[in-house]
Amino acid sequence: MEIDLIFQIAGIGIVVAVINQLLSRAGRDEQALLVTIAGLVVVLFILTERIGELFASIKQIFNL
Amino acid sequence: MSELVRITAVGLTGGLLALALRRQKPEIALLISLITSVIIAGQVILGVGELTEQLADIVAECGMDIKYFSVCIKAVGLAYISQFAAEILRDGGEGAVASKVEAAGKVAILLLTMPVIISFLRLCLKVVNGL
Repeated sequence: MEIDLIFQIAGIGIVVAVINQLLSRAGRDEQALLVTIAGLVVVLFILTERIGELFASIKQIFNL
Repeated sequence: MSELVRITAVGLTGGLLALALRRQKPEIALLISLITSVIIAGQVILGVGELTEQLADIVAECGMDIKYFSVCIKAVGLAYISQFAAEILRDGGEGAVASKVEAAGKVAILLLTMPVIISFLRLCLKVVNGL
């Protein structure tokens, strides 16, 4: 089981939250928003592959 | 046994990490719970595969038509997929989309099982007309 993935995504989340705080304290709210969106996109890239794998294995096992 | 302990540990880790991040970044917390459920479901599905193989063996020994059994298995698979997506969506607070996904799953299952239901009804009709 790939528990690294969970830690990876949690790490991305923590880093994004910290950068977000720093940027919004410095008054750069639009850049903070961009950082949030970038973090989301990166995580989604990691996720979609795994979800595709899961659905493929469900399809194969249940003969869908 | 060790498999169950491992799955429990993964679930607890993912859940606690998602809980820690929920205040600051709710969308990332949702994605953490999504990846946790993907990992756990990927593990569980392997066991399900073994189970269905054994069940198919015993069904074949009973002399029943394997066609009906495979329809059952497919219905379970469809329910699993749609339930998976719907629960994640409901966790994120999108109850409306979740119920649409569930409805799509129900329709897909009904479409899949319709030939069996129709053949049963045909049999009933034949019996009734034969009286």
